[in-house]
Amino acid sequence: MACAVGFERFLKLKAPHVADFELVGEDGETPADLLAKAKVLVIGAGGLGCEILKNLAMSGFKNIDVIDMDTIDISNLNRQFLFRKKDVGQPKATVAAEFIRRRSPGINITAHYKRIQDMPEEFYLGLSLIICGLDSIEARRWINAYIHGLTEAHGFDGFKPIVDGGTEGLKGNMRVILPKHNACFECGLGMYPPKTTYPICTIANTPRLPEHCIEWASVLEWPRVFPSTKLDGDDVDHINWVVEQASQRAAKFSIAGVDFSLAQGVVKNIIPAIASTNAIVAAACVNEAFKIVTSCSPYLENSLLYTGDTGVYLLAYPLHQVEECLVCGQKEGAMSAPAESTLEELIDALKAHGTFQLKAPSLSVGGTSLYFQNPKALEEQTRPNLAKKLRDLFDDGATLTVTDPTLPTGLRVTVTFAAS
Amino acid sequence: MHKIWKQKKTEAELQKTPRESPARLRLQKELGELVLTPDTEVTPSADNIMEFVMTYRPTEGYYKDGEFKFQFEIDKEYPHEVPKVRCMQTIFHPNIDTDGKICLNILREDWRPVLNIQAVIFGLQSLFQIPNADDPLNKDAARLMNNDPAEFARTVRLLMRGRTVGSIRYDDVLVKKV
Amino acid sequence: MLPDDTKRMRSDADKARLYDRQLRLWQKDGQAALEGARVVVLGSSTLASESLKNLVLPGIGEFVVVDDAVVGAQDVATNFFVQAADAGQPRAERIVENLCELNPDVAGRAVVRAPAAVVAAEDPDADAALLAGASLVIACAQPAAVVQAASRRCWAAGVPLLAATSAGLLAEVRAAVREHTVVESHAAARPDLRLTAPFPALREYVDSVDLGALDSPALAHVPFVVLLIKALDAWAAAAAAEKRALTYAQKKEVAAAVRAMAPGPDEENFAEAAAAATTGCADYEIPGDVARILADPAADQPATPFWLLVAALRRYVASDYAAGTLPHSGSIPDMKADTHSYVTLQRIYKQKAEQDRAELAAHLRAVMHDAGLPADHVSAAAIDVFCKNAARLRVLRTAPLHADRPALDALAADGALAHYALFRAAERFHAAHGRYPGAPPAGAAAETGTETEAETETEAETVAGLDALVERDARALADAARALMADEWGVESPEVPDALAAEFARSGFLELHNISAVAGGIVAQEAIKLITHQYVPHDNTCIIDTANSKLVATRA
Repeated sequence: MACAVGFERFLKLKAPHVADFELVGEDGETPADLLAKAKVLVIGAGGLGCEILKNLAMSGFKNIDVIDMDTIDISNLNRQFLFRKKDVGQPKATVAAEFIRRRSPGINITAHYKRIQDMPEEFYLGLSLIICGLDSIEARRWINAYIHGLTEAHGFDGFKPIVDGGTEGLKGNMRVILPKHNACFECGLGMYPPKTTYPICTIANTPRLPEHCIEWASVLEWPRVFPSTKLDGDDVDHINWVVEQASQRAAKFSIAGVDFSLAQGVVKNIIPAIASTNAIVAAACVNEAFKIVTSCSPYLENSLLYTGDTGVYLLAYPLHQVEECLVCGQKEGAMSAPAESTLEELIDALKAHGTFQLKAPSLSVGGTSLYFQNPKALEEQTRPNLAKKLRDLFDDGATLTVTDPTLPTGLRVTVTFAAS
Repeated sequence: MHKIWKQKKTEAELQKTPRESPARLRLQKELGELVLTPDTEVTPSADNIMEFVMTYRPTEGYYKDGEFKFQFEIDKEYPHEVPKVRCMQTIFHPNIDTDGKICLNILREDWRPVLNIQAVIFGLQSLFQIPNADDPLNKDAARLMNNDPAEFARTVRLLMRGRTVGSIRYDDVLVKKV
Repeated sequence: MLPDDTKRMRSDADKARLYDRQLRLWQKDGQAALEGARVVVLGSSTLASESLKNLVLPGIGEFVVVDDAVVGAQDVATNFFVQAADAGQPRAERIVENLCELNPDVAGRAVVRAPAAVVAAEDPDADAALLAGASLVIACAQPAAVVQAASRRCWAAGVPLLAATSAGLLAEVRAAVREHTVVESHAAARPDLRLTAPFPALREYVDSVDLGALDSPALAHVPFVVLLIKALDAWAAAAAAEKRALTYAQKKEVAAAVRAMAPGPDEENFAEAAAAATTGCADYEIPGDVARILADPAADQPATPFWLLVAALRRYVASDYAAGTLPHSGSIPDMKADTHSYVTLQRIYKQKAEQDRAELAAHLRAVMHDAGLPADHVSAAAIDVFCKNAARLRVLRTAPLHADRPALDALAADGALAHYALFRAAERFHAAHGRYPGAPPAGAAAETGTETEAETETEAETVAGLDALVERDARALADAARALMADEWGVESPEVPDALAAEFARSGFLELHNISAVAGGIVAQEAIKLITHQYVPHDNTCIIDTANSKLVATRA
């Protein structure tokens, strides 16, 4: 018996924790078919990204896109194992994709040396699943909100599961996000505290720590001395200037401990990163992607925590949706109104609506303010819209964003023009 | 995943207008429900609510009769990121330097996403009602306030009319009676 | 030798940049320990290469891979560090070559011999020293006999052992560490401010601050340490109480005394003092872990620098000078204060730490004298680090992997008993049948990975046949696990879910890349902690079951 090996064997066998019907795809595909067909986007080709790409290639994924706007730095090489010293300065996505292509020639992998915000909607619609290996909260919030919007605009065609990994030193976490079905990235944002900052009066007048002196140099002195140049944490000359200024100030106040490493750490908000933590989190992410795509086993509901600094602590737990979440906490609704009716009549209808029961709604459509109850200046500016006809304010089938004191976040109301 | 496949939406349920960004949604909710005292106003433009000016006219204390303007810039990462707030005039105040930088804890180390524009406005108002001379940004102002409150009060009133002292040109910030 | 020195300086600077993100975790001495280490790995499957990848990248000194397996189809499918063209070649050699390419500073070597032969106790040749001379041994996907023999050998030599198995969606990582001591544990420790019993220099400074003479801004910048010591004094005098082992109610009284001293309700430094009064700064206590280390019999006849230092620490703590305290670390947390007060206070604590260090060093000299050791047996740098971390010392002693009976209570409490029993039962199945549950009989496994047309045609039948084999093995495995628990471990009514046994059998104990990568990550993380003697290794078992999303760090 020349039996299959690796994931091929695994996918051919009966799955103990899955009902048989779930092993058949929407169009009758087998788990192996689903795996070969899946198109996965990897966001970030850094510490997590390199691991994720390797794991995808070794788990039978055939169609991979990788996006990263960054280039390779020497300090990446202690963990980003698809890069070598000769690659320093090259785009991460391109070099990583090329390495995977060499190792696994059967894989269709495409690199994008770009920002995620620059990819068109059709690109995202063509994906099966997204894996994020990012350290930027900003990018993770963006993709989370974007995919939720895509799901609302395109229904299941826009529904893209997001598997999100993050690490810091010997700690890591992973999330499985099914847009509109479980807690989204924004729901768990509280777990990521904002960057440490210090009171500006302490920095200016009563420094005690070397960090205070570094912030004095970088936050107060730099913009004063170089008003037209942004401080660049990767520019050695810039950091050296900060070190020099901060050291002088530290000496004046008898404060010890200012050095290049600390200065760069403070200015760039450097987070320690090592190969082993990335390996754990990235492999856990791709394993979830493998399970989601093939249905060979139930996926994680929905969060995993790993900490390794004092012993090992592992925890799989469900993170709950937050009612006030600005992304997935928005309610959806639909109503119809004559195109010839006024905005004021629409607002009255929203207040009288049996389900919505709003008290003092403010409305926008696609980033344009339609009517604001407060503050006075904004109410006055938008008041003329109240008398305008709906067809002069937005198109048939437009979705308005409504906020109201009775709503935890917003309400998305799609307005269809009824024949008057 | 099977359960989710079965929840396909009808064409009519799909949303054709893009969502507001989380930051703008939050700001729409906050501004739409903002409650202000008569001494304060904020004037966003309907075209762009992410930047606006707050004007505050204290009715008591050292800064009575002044009209103070603050530029608010709301980052696209709001409320994860703190609103950027700057005093638009050059004034003599223990907690505001002559560049307009403000030393207020919730505008820096104590900012939390559960805080909001309303909280920032209260914080700014309180700086004018009770300036904090113990943790100053403008040390000269603080020293004067601590050592000689009467002289500090006189200096504040004088400089609120607009004066040049040394290399610093203080703005005329008195309320203009129409 | 100027040119050479210049070269080394440049390479140090290069290293600082290359390793910047990890040096922020374990600093130069941790890195030096890594670079001086030699790791021996038994096995060369995906688990081995994924573990080693995470050690080669941060710059381990040397690694040796012991295995006589050749590259087969399963390897090409799951192991990133071999390729189709490597089929039939010694797998240990292939992964060593590809791993070395990751980091030119690392030396790797393949020993193409069966791990079983190398760990066999009766083998008297140089291989015996391979394990005993290692900094750490890692057994990857090895049968129980090899793991147990390695455990005996490493236990005797005092070498830590990690053992990992990866089977489909399941994995296990275990550690056998006879004794591991940690000075730089990086563990969280309460700020040590000696508030209830200020040492003379601190007392003198606190008494020199006359709160009544301060103007408002100065009062707002008095460090909370000074405020709280004064409040404690006032409270003790008023209540005629001792400043020791304060009850919660007493701490609340002290906090109230602090607030009564405050000029206004908003003063941040007074708020810090009131908070510290109730949250624990007001009491001095030797942390539990350190108290246990002080009582450890290993310090009676100290044989290593660590235990010599602990023996000295015992004498120090018992001395009149220390009066039950540990040497001060010399660092204090940031607090609301003006620069001058804070820097002064910092200097006072730093000087106290220097004095304490000198006292401890004196005790150490006496200890070493008694032990007949030279005075420089423990380096000055080691004494420094020890004193700085005296409140965070850790000692780890796990069970060996050749023990007969696991820690049933811990496994049961963490809900990992069935998993653990199934892993052990599968090992016995392997010992009895020469194959793991769910794996086809030996000889049937494809070595080339190419399937002929005819084989593809009969595949459906083959898959059905394999399903039947898996089902049969799952039943046998579940029964064996239950018998093991009931008969040998004395577990009453042992519970082994059939679906869980079926998951074990589905794997055939063949590796899936992702699960081996998760386990390899944990192996490397534990290895780094063991090698650097920084952070705290886990005692001693991690169970990973991603079929049921059950991931548990437990003790066996």
